[in-house]
Amino acid sequence: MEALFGEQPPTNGDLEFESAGLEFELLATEVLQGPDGVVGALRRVLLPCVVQGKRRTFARLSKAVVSSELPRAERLRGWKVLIGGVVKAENERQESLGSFGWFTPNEWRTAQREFEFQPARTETWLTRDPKLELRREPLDTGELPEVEALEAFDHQTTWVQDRVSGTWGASLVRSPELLNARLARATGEISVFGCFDHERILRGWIVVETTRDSVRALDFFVPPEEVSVGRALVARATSDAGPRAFALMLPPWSPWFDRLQDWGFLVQVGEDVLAARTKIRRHDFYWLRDSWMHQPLMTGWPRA
Amino acid sequence: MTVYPSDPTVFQGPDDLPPVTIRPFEPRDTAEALASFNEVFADVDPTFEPRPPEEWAWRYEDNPCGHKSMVAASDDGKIAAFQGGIPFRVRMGDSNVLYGQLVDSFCKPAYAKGLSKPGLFAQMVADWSTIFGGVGKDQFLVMVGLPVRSAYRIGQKVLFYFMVRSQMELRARLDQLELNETGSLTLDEPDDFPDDVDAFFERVAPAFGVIAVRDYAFLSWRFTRNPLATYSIGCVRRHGDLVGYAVFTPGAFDQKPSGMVADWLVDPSVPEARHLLLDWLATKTRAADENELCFVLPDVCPDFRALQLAGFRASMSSYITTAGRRHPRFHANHVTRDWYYTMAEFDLC
Repeated sequence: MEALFGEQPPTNGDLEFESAGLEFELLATEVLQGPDGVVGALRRVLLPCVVQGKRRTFARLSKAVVSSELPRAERLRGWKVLIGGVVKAENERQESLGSFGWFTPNEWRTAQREFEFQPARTETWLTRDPKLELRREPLDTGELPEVEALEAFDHQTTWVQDRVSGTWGASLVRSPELLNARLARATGEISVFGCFDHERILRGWIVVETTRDSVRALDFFVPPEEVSVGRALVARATSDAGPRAFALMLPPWSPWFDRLQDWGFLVQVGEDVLAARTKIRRHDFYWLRDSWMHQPLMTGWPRA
Repeated sequence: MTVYPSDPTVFQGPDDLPPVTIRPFEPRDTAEALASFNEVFADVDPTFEPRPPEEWAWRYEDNPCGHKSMVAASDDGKIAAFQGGIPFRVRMGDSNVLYGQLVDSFCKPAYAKGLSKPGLFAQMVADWSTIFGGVGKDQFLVMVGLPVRSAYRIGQKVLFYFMVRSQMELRARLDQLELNETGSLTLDEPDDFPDDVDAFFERVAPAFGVIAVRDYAFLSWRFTRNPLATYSIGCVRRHGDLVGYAVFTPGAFDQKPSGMVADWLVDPSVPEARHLLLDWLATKTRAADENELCFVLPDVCPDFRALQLAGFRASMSSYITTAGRRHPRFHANHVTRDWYYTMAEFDLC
């Protein structure tokens, strides 16, 4: 099969994670039928997002395949049928922003040629290796707010969501239902830490996934002006990581991007490129590059 | 050998303007092309200083790889549009290919007013690509650049531009540098690149995957004989052997003034050479009354991490690095994963 969006076929776990917390109608699989059966398929996951204060949907194309055994002309026609389905679906939903996905360089040609995707940015990770001795500000100043482990997200999630999403141009909506469903379906060892003020108001959280060799943040959600809250959460996550490397994905325009470097994190670029096709002219790929906040918990991607 | 089309495009100008022929640049076009260049850019940029003939000659006539440029000229020799193409040799595996950068593009506003589709400029760039792009020995395999938004959009349409990366910069305040001891290494500051720079490049090139041929011919043209700026060269040696060099100039990137590292090539097996060069670069930066040092490198190269360990911070610039390939078998990985570059390949510093 000629495939996009990851060279490995998705596992049942991947598909369950993708759909966790979403209504059934927000998932769609377009199937390309040949004379002898299915010769291609495309999977879309419609995700709720906030774009400059307005609720919209942004579809992640999570898998697209066309049989490489088809003659070239048939294969190209197959891609056109699949993308035709995507365009039709985008046009049917007035609130749709368009579609997005992550690509490796191997997938570029098909993505650009057949799907008219525009690359927006290479995704950047901030990584911290405790074995490195760097002359930077210490992360834990000893006077940080307290951090505690959370069992589940509750209604306060929405308050933080409302505060944070206003500072970004576009981001996926984090409802407590969606977050809890995703945590329940995540396959790794997951920890959630929250930071509360003295009135027990949630100020921010971090979700981390621990593997044998490394720890990565799946969701780091703190208002940019709450420096001590973010610092406390990152300090707790890195402390729990112990001797393992810790990685957190952030776009370079985030204020946290510079702060984490001051705290001893190094910038590392992942292989996946975020790309999209948007229906709205002013929301082109330059805008997306500088406005779209994404964290891996919402989709399972990109990879570190 | 480049094959030119037997019937070049004739573009009918709007209103009563004479038609122009889109064809490869010829030496007889020099004076008119330069005059039109100065006229067009003076109209759009109040700070523009007219380009002197010696700078034009350096850029187009003295380049050891020549140039591949197009003009749209009327019968009386007036130039309505120009597209400069600056090639440089790139080592890919065991062989050299040509990469290039498109520069100095302009189209006189009077010719841009018409309703023709494509317009004169887009047609000229498309013709440029057809003639000069390809896998021939003197054709550009890939066009690379740091284009502004409008140029990127045209490039996507006619040059098959794709994004290599959102270009990051590495900056360090001088008091942030974390430098190590450099042992028995020595540093000198010659006026020109040393004779053994060719041998040094040949020795280290295999470690860099895809890299512009940094031999004496290229480096001396790009820096020593460049009339646009004054560059300082720092060479690090171990027991007399060249193990790294850097090129410094005071300047700005992305409108932020700083000491600029215009070129940087260090033998990866001698990492301490980086620190001696950084120490020298800091001294040059201080002498230029600047407080920051700035690198532009691909974020996938080992130096990107090594420089962060030495105190540099990464941040996003407003540029995207692009490439337009001219051959279907040319894989994007050659530029996204393997291509090492600095500011030496671009005309921004």
